[in-house]
Amino acid sequence: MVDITIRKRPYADAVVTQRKFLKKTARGKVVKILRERYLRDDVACGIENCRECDGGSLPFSGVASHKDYPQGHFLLPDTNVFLHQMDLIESPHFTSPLIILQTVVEEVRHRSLPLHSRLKALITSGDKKIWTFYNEFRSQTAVVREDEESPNDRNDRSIRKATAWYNTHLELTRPVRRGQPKPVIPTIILMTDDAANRQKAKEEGIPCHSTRSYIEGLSNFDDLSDLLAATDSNDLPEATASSRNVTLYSDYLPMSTLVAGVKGGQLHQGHFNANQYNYLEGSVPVPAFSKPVLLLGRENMNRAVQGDVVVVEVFPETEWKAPTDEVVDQDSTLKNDDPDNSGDEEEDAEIDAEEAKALGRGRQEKTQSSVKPSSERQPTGRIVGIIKRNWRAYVCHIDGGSLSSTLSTSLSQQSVFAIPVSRLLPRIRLRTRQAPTLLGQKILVTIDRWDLTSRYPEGHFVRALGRAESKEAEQESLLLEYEVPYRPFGKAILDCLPPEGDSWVVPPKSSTSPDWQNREDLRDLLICSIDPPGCQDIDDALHARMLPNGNIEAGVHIADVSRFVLPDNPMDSEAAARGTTVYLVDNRIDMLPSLLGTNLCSLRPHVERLAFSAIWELTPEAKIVQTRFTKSVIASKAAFTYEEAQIRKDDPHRDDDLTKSIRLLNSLALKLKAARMAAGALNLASPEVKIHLDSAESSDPIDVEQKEMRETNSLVEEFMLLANISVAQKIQESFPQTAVLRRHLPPPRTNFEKLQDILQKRRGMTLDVSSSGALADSLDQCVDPNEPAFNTLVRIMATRCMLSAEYFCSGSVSKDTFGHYGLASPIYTHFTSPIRRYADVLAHRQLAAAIGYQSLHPSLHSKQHVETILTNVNRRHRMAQMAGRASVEFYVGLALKARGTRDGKATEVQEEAFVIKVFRNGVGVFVSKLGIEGVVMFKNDHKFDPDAYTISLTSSAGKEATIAVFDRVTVSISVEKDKNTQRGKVAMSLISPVNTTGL
Amino acid sequence: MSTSKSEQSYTAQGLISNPPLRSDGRSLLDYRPICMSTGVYPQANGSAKVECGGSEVVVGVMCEIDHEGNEDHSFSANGRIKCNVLCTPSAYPAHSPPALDDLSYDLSVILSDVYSDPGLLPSNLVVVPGRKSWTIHIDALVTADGGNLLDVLFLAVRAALWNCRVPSTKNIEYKGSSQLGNESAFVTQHRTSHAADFEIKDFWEDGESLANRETFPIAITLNLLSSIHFLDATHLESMAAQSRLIFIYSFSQSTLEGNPTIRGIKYFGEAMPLKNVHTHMPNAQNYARELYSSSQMQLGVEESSRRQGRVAWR
Repeated sequence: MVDITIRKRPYADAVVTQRKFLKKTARGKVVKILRERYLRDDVACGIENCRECDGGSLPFSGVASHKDYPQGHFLLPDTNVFLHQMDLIESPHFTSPLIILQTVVEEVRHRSLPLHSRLKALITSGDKKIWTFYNEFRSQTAVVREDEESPNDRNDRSIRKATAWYNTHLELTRPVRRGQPKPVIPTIILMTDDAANRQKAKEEGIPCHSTRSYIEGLSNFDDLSDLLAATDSNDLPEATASSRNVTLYSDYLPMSTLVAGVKGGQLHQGHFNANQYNYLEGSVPVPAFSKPVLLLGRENMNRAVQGDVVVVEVFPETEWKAPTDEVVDQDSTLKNDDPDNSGDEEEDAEIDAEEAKALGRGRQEKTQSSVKPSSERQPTGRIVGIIKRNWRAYVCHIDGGSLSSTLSTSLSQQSVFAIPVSRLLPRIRLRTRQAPTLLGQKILVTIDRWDLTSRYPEGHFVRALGRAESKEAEQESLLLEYEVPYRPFGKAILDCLPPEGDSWVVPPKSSTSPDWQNREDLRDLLICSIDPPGCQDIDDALHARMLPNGNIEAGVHIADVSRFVLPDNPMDSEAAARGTTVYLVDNRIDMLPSLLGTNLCSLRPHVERLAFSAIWELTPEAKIVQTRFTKSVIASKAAFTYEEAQIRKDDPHRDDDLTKSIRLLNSLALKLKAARMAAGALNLASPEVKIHLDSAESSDPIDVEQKEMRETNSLVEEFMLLANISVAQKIQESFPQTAVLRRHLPPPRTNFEKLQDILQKRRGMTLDVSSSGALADSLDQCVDPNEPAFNTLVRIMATRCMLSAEYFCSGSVSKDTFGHYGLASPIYTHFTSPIRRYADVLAHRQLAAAIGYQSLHPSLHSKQHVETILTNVNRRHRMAQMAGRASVEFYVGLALKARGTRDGKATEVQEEAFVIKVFRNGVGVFVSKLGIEGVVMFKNDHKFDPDAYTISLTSSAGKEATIAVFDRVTVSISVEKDKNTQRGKVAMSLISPVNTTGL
Repeated sequence: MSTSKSEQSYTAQGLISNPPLRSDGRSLLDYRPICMSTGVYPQANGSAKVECGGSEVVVGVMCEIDHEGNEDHSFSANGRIKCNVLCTPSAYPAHSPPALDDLSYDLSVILSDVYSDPGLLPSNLVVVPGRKSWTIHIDALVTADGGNLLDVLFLAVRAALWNCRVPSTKNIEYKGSSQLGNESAFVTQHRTSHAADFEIKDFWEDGESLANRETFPIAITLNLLSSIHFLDATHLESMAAQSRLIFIYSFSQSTLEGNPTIRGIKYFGEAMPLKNVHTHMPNAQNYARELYSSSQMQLGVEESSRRQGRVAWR
């Protein structure tokens, strides 16, 4: 007989084993949540060779690096340490063995998700000696909440109890043995910045330290001191009493009030966007208004930083204002501010006056001519609270002017300003001992807090990236600035690759091989790939052939990435987190390990590769007769560049089958494109330039040119669109709730108002934005016969008025918003580049399930899961685009510099440019040849007509000229090095019609 | 459960004989042992299980936020109590599902009738005045019926409500600045009726007890047989009785000595002159008072032992 025992917990135990708590859901319901916990006595302490516990990894006798604990110690940090001092803990110089309590990990998760993921990464990385102790599950350390005890107090008590337990545990497991020396017992130190907790710990006889006092006792204090975050803890000796300082900002409202206000409709929630031209102006787009809420001045922006989720209060309509049309640069306005004693009244007054002037100018003018059309005014308000800070580490330069001592030997701590590379961020004040050495370097700085009394946020130094303008530093800073994960793939990820590595091949065809199950053998088809030159990750290939019935069979073959990237393994999670491959001018940050991207999945010619094929039967008029999808094995016959394919197609002497099939594809593509255009697809333009690199090694750019578009580019594009649309239809049909789709929402009409007005006033042209077709037509009408580039310019400006396309989960939005505005397609997805886009991998999995090839992983049935992934992918995608653009910009700068100093003598670079924006004291210009935008600033006042979008300039020679939007001008471009920040700045000045140097 | 005529008359004979004889040896006014425990469903806001002889009723009480303009437009600013009784097939193996539904419905109606009295509504169900309030859902499950079900049902519901904790909430509201431009003119938190929403005060604490929870009623079923009456009838005994007279009383600290409040009277069975009700009433009142005080004592013990359990565990 099998002996069955049922161990039922006695009823009285419930107090200990059950954790009950109440939760208010987003819909306003209150739910009671009950968690069971099972207490045990064998939760390991984590210290090596412990007499009682197994599997420890911390050194047996701790480390003796702290002067107060020569007998060795372990560190047990409180939650607040991870909340405020994460950079310190992450530093490679910080080597103390850490015991991290479950209570602490959970509390960190409640308080801040980004910090929680950093903490998790730290624990799993294996770089440090860390043990996670599940104190809530060990019966000796579990605590039950007492009556009237706040959750915070309970957690503190739990942490103290665990520390005390550890200390006794060490004593008990290392008893004194007769005849042997007394065992050396290391100490467990509680590290907390909460003075009350320290007080209680002292009473209970638990050794404890604040972060600062602990660090001060370490042998490598100097390496770590800069990383200490500025906290408002009392024991920070530098924290000067700021009571004498005037409060500059109003206090935030409590969170609950904010939520109530937002719910009640009196307040509005949104993301804060700083204005890159004017640091004293920001805006918050909110759903309640068609225009974003404008925030003018420091007080109203109330310490918000780009990207924060904020709550704004909107002023009554009589106080609504129009945005300023002036460039206000904080570098110049604030250049005299001293980081050590900002808050000095005199100086403050000076700055206030300066800022008020900057804000008031233009505005005053407006009130005088007060009949400003009310259409230009927009909701104006002020920030009353922050829902979520979005602070991260920012790439900065040290402001040289703010240093009090530049002696490189000076090791005294001083306050300096760090100026973020991004114009959207305020400068950050930080205290460092290394100021002189950091000068001229790119450094990473984190914001810690922003007090009511401080004009600037306080931050701390994280690490140096290298000399400014060195390519390594610039590139890393770029990746950091756009939050691109660029670490090399870890072991766990590489372990997911096929063990054969490079030598993996498609197994020989047999009925038993799992790779050949349900796979079609398309190795004999004449398949080729067409890609940009130098492309290594070939993820698509094409073929076309005539069918006996006169129709044409065309096929798109996509690398079968989902064969290698299996759901829910470390490689999959990493790819999902990266979201996309990021292309920089001279570098590529892969989404998948390069073995897959450039070898096993890359559809290289003359080798057998696994593919996922979409095959259509099309009439010669390119109407779809039939569509089918299948997993396949292909062997590409050739890999062409766009140029090679084009030459081959156009060469009348070539008449082989491959060339014929390219011609066939081309003829179909032309018809597909025509049909698409007829349906109202937009032909949008964005400035794309190509950087010529001198040689592969030095990668010094020598010149910039615009990318050329060939017929074959369009050929590939059409077939990819066709494949994407067909796949989208199929997966939406099969998985109506969770299909991974991509959409492009029609832009709100108000986005075009300004452009329409400019076009109307300057050129007498109208832009019909009622539908994408109408817009496409009217864009075609915007032609200036004398100015071939004008149309492109208008297209670029129209593109900027549009929303960006996004991935979404089909179950999450209503079906009538599925459409892709730009492509004029009712449904769309991404399927064709699974090597470099994660959404495509998901689409592959769903399509494979839709055709019955394999069952769908449960996670792809969960709407919530798909949504979470796609939100991240959308964000990564946006960031990748911006990073790519920034990389091009940086190289354009280098190229300009190279061009400027060619032949050893400085020559001026002059280019033609178009005016795209007119400010009161400057003009924004776009240099199409270089694909860059810049601002020409004027020092003197000029006649500015905001309604007609013109500005009249008088040159020093007395010549007067009026410049309007869309005018073609010549600018001289140079790269200037900002004196204070070492930041390379593209500086422009007008050459014609007026030479404005000195104006 | 069907019984034969002879069984019924045999039982009746025993009851009216002098001294009365009951199959389990009780006197006419004795209850079978009552076993009562509270907090049996940790997920619920309040719960109780009462066993008496062969009858067993489990009750769970859930508090739910109701808001103005809810789906069925039934919002009540002062809160509501909703009752539902479910008789399980295991309690009535002989009943067909429709018959079971009917029985459940009948019991639900009796319970709802009593608890729909606004006088019984606890005063602490208002969350946001005029906008949000608590609805108390009482779900009773009859898992076994060994007679005298109504008394057991009311006792169990009462114990569950006694055990119920309403989550403590705090009202929040946003009051816009009256004078714009003046930075300090910000008044943020007001405890007026302008509140728009609420938040949970402390997500770990269970909350507060229902106000006036001692007034929740107790039912006493008098089983009448010729000139005698008896309490806590078993199934067979209730078949033998000619009629049942049910009194539902509320007690409170002040009425314990004096007269309790009557919440309902039900009568089932052969026709009876009305004045008989009056003669039975004082008796019923005394029985109810006894039941009330003993149950109250038990509830007090349960509550303090739970608190002590927590303290002892420290």
